[in-house]
Amino acid sequence: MKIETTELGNQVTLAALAGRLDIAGAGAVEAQFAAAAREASVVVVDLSGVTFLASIGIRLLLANAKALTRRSGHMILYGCDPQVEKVLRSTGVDQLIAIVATREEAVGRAGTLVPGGGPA
Amino acid sequence: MIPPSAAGSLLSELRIGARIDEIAVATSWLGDLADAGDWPQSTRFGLELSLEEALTNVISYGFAGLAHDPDIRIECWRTPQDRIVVRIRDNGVAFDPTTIAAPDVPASIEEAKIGGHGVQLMRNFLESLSYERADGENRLTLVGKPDQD
Repeated sequence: MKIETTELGNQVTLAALAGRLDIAGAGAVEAQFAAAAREASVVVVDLSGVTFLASIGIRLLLANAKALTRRSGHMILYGCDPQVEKVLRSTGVDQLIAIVATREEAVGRAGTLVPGGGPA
Repeated sequence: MIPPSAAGSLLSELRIGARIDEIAVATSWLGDLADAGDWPQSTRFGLELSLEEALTNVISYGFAGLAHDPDIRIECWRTPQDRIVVRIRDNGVAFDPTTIAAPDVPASIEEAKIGGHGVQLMRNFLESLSYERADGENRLTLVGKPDQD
């Protein structure tokens, strides 16, 4: 499991996850993911490299979305594999965290959530 | 619970230790069987997910405070109806995941519980989930969905 974080500017961070978000994978990325969620106003999460998502991965997403919300921040997910998206929808995560199809939509949405219009 | 005699053919069995890092051994064993048997994607994903969730529970909570050695065995069967069935047997404390209620969908992220989704996922991604306690063992039977939904 890998994570790569990129600051897109204006308090928006892109976190690209890749691999299996199972109990081992979640453990490997949780510290860096939490650090990104502590520092940004909006975390845009690229799930296009995630091939498997278990409940521990849902826990990781919800815990950090919650932390962001406490600071009036937001999380946006995009690029879900169909089975991964089914996991998110069947557990109601889609009611709590925005899910969009593409990076363009995610970054566009981020721009409406931060003062000054999002990434430069 | 499908009795072994009526369960069809045993594809493979695996014994794992009661450690979190053994879960990946089990899911990759199942992944190899899926590759070899050319299972439908929904069967494979649902069974891998459910095996991961079930073993996470067994290994995290099943053996705390027990004096005897943990024994966790997993079997994979193909039934005469062409279903893939995974059976997990463990000698940990009695735990019936089929009695766990689905968490309420919260109104907002602030109210959301961050855990408790494992059993809900198993129900959603399997054709059936059944449990039996016999001979001091938990026996959990996961029946894979035959095809897309």
